[in-house]
Amino acid sequence: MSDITVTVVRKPMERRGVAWLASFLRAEVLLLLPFLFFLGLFEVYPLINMAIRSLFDTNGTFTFQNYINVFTKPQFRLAIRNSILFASAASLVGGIVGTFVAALAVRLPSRWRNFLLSLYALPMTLSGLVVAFAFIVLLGRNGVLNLIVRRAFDLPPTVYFNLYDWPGIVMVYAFFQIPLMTLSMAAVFENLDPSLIEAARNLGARPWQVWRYVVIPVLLPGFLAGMSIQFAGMMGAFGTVLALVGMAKNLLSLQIYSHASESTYNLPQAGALAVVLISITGFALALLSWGARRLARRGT
Amino acid sequence: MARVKVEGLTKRFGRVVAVQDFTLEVEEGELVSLLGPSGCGKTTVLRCIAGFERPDAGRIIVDGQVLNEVPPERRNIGMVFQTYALFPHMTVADNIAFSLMIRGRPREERERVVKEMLSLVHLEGMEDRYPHQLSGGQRQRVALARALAMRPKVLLLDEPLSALDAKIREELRGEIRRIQKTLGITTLYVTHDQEEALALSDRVVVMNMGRIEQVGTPAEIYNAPRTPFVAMFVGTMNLLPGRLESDGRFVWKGVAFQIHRGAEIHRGQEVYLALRPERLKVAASPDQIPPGHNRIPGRVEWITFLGPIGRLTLRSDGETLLADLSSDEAARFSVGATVWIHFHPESAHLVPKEPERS
Repeated sequence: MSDITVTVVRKPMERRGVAWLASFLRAEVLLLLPFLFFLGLFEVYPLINMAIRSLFDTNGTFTFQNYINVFTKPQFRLAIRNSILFASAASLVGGIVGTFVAALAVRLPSRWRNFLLSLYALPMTLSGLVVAFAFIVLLGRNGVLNLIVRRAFDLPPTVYFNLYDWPGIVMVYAFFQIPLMTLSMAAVFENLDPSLIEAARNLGARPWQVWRYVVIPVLLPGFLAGMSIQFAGMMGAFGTVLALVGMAKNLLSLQIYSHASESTYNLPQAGALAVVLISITGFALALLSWGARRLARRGT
Repeated sequence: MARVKVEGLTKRFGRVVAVQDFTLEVEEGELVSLLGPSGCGKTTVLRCIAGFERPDAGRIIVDGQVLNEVPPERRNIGMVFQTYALFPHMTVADNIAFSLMIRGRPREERERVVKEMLSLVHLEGMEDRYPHQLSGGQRQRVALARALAMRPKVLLLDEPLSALDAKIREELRGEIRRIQKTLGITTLYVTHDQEEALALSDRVVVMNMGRIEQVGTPAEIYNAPRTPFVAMFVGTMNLLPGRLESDGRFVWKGVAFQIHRGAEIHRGQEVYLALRPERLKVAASPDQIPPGHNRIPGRVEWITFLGPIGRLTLRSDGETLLADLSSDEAARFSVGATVWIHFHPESAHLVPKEPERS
């Protein structure tokens, strides 16, 4: 560990201000400007605009009614509940399976591991719509797999795997979520110093105790960080689920979509729903990162 | 405390033979270093003793008990790793008490041992720190305390100082020796640093390419290397290839030297004459050479200032020789000067060209 000592020489306020401005205007900082411009135009401004508009009704009168609706109308309350449950379930499936796949992948010889991991990057490049249709062809009511199973076991057409219910939707999203988690956990597993495991065994820990007292606590912060990405992605999940079930399932993201573009058009209401969705996601992320930081510092 | 016996240890990784027929006995309370370049198999020997590697052949015996089939967690052998391997999510106290926690020892005992160990490694009051709040030297002290907390029969140290600064390294080296002597614990110490091995050990095992080159006290290793590898690896050595013509007469490129050592070498054998740079003397003219000294003419090629000493790079009949003089003496010579290189017959040592493999 090398320490860098920085000596701060105090200067008069005015001179420091000039120096700060001068350093800010150095050429390389200018390269950031296009990024900041786009960030402002397409992220900050729309967010603020949406938040402000959610506080007015369609006639332009200030009101909290849109938020009161979100927490009182059964369709919205159900959407919030469904979104939280769906995002949690999909994150857990992706998180747990992805972790195990990563644990196996890092044990492979590096050539195979890199091949596998690059295969895993593939789903993330695919459009949600394409994936939805692929699953419909494979697993839809009359999809290839359902037909094969029905034929093989001589089952009536009423028996099939239902892609259009929650388990089906979670499974389709696992197609994105598992590789995502695998990629982030593979990095975590690779950073796990194998001598930690050896040190624990050397000190008398049996294999299960090594997992209980060393491996799991050391991996948990990375796992929670991976779960954050999963949860945030799943709260906003939209395209694939829309393609699969349309409006048949009640999710926050679908409610926002319907209030922003369908017959139920009500932009301020959509804004209020979006603010609530962002708040829930933000709260969950803050909770997970607080947990991860606590675990990173604290002992068992 | 315990005696460690390694008998005919062989370990292969795929087709690569990491350790070949390694045999060593370590006495109770002895500190033995395994010294060699990276990849020489020294760490593999240590890992076999700790139980992290399965020997392909040979036996590991501690206090008369064969350990080959005993899992690492039941061997009661302490180990200190090069990367410290402290548990990052645990405090210093929890790290040190880990082995006692695993064995379900009561809280009072754990606290007492933590206090004892912290005072042994001079880290009193650091109980509640986390590893990331410690310096490298402090981390390695905690790692040492953790390895000693369960009172192991044997202590293994795998390059424990190689990640540290030179100054801390030297300081901690002394500490390790002091603690090892205080506890009287049988210790195996792996290092690639010959100075460290010589400074610390009761005996040094020099290894190369999976085999033992020589076992001996630091003085034996330094003064009487048995193979060219040991001569070149430990310290700096001038090696002159030649032949032993008759007892006490070594001939190099037609120049004969009187030699006292090397009785085990047969007449006519191809050998190296090994000369430490600090044993070589340099004179400006032949009348300054004491009687009985061997002499060869040479030329000063370069002078390197090394603080207390000045190292002369000399050229004689196509051969480069290094001579360490005191800085003052070295200052009397200049680059390009023609000089006489001379040495006492006792200063030279003969090393067989073909290493003896027993």
